[in-house]
Amino acid sequence: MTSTTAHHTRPGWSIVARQELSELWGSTRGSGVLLGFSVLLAALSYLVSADAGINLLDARESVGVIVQTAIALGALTALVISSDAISGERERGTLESLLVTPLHRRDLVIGKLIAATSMWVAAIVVSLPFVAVLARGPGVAFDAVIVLVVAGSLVAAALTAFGLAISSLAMSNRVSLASAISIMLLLAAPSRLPGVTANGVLGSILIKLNPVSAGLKLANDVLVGQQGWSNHWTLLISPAVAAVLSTVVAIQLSRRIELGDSR
Amino acid sequence: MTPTRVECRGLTVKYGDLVAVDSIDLEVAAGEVFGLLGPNGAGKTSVIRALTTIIEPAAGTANVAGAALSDQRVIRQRIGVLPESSGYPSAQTGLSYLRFYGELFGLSRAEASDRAAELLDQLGLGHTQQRISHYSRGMRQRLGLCRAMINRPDVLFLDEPTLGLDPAGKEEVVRHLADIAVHDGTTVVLCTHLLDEVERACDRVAIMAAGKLLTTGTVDDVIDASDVPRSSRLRVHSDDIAAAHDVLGRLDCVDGIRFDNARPGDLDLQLAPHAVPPASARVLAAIIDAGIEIRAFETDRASLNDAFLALTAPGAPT
Amino acid sequence: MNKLLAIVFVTICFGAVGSPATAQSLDEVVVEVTPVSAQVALGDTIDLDVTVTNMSTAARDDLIAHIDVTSPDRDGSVDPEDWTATLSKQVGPLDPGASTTVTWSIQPISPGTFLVYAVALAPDAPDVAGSNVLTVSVEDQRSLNPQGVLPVVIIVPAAVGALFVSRLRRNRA
Repeated sequence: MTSTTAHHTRPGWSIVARQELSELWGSTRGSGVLLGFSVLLAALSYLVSADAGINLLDARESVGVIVQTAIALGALTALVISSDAISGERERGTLESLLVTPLHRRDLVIGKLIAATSMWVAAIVVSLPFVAVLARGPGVAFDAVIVLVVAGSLVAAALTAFGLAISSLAMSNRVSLASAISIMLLLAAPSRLPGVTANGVLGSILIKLNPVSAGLKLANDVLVGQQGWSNHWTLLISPAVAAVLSTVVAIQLSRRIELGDSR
Repeated sequence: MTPTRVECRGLTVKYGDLVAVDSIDLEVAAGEVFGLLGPNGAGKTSVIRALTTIIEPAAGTANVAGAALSDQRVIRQRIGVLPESSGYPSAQTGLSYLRFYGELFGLSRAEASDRAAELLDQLGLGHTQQRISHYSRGMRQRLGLCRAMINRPDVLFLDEPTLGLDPAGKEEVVRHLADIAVHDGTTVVLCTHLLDEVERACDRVAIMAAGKLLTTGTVDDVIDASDVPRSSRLRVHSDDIAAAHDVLGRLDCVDGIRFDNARPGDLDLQLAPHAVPPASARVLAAIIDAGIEIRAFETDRASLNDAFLALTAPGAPT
Repeated sequence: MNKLLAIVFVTICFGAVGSPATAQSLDEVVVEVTPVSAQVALGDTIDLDVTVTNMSTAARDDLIAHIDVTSPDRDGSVDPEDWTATLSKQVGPLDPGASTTVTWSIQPISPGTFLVYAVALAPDAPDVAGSNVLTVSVEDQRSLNPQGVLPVVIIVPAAVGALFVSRLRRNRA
């Protein structure tokens, strides 16, 4: 009996990514989360564009609201998937079988990161029609799509990797998901600061340093405030740094993946 | 000389201050089916996890499938593992599940598909295109066995492979294990607390309790080591029963005598295990010398279960 | 007689030199808005013309036209900046008797009846010149398909829902 020799025809992360994508989109998990996202976005789109007995929003403001919501909710869907990545395997009892294969733990994490990111890509695809229709009137479609794709992708990348890092450490799915969502809400909170506080020195710094609030502020300033990219590109710095850092941390933490139950 | 496939010296596993495995030595020869027995909490799973590189031992050395424990990837490439509480993704089919694992072990997609189909046929799952969510418990265990064998491992570690199976399912798994060892030459380390399947399947066994290794050897060696009395049944004419009782009562190799009330001529005997000459021979000789006609005499070998209980009983000498 | 003429002459001179400069009042500036009434649906825009006429004998180049919106129906105020971004515009130089028209595009943001008016002001003027009123009736237009978003609102979730159902069926098979 000679065991199979490891001459990987494909890198481990690619094998894992393919399997995870198949599981995510072949089951109801991915489409279920996406359905929730699309219904919420559709409801909000209709409300912001319709006269619901309240003041009619400026069309640009409508676009800004939808883009910000798409970024926040879309990143949240990716976060939900990534925060289940390792802790979910642990809970379902499938982690040990993976750990006894020649697969690098790093490749396991990278493959799952790719699959979770597909959730954000799907969110972009679902959001585009809403953004395109609403942005048609005020003529900001190009800006809206760029903000959604660039700022949104950086925010989503940061949160997705962050969720995966939490999942590697958390011993249960409940802890992983609760922690990830709580921290995301904390990060999104500064973007809801009242104008005076947000525009103050400290508030402004806080918002710029925070990748989520920076991304949302960029959407607001470019689309609603009608301010040019040249004045606000610096708001992309913290999401970009966060995306890189959290990805590196998530991959490094893969070495510490454990089963979790002591016998 | 048969090469050793699994060897550990002074293997120690700790969880914080808890010593789960206390400096054990083991050797498993190539092609052997080796049973690792013990009550719950004995440390069996910790031994398996240490040898399969899931957890790092606190002390000791080990060599698995020709690789030192530090060569984790090499070991993982050469072993197959069926963990005790193995879960399965419910939305996949058995084929896609096994194909994935085949690819992880370096097979191309086509090779992995072929190997998966072969294993599914071999273990009686080839007929089904169902998703794993529709599999019975027994089917999942067999699927786990397929997964553990996807890379044609040198050593197969099975932790409670028959857990939750009905008798027919257990029988089937044990039969497959024997096939694997005999036909494929795979070394099997079987971790279980079901002793009847160990007696049938294992060439050698080791018994653990409270993290320590109590004894190792063939089933007979282990039973002998346990000093468990052998039971026998002697049948004489009902008129001779009292005389037979007297004769046997004087023998030091007879630990106990009991009348069988349902059968007037029968005596149940407990014989000392290590008597020289053997107790059964002395019993027969004594009855014959007393001129008592022997109508029947049976000796039961002590069971592994008896030996296990004797060895792992609280206060048993270690 | 000569003495009387001299006294009158001196008085006139002193009066011309000695009296303080008087800020130009806007009582000879006329402001008119057109149209005077409009009935629109919510979301429509109205082109508002504000005509400023200098009825005085002196040219002016300090006039500013400013519009405001109020609602007779509501407690509290209407924010005119919701209707248009720029409320004040320079009128430009205006010769005596000349007129100029400044235009706005205003968009009502809520249903109801509103009054729009304009004033002309100047930095040093003690008063303003007010216009007539434009009465705007804004219909509460409940469009089922505002901004054409309804097809997207239906089709996108339906498409994703179809994907979900297909996966559900496949996994049950």
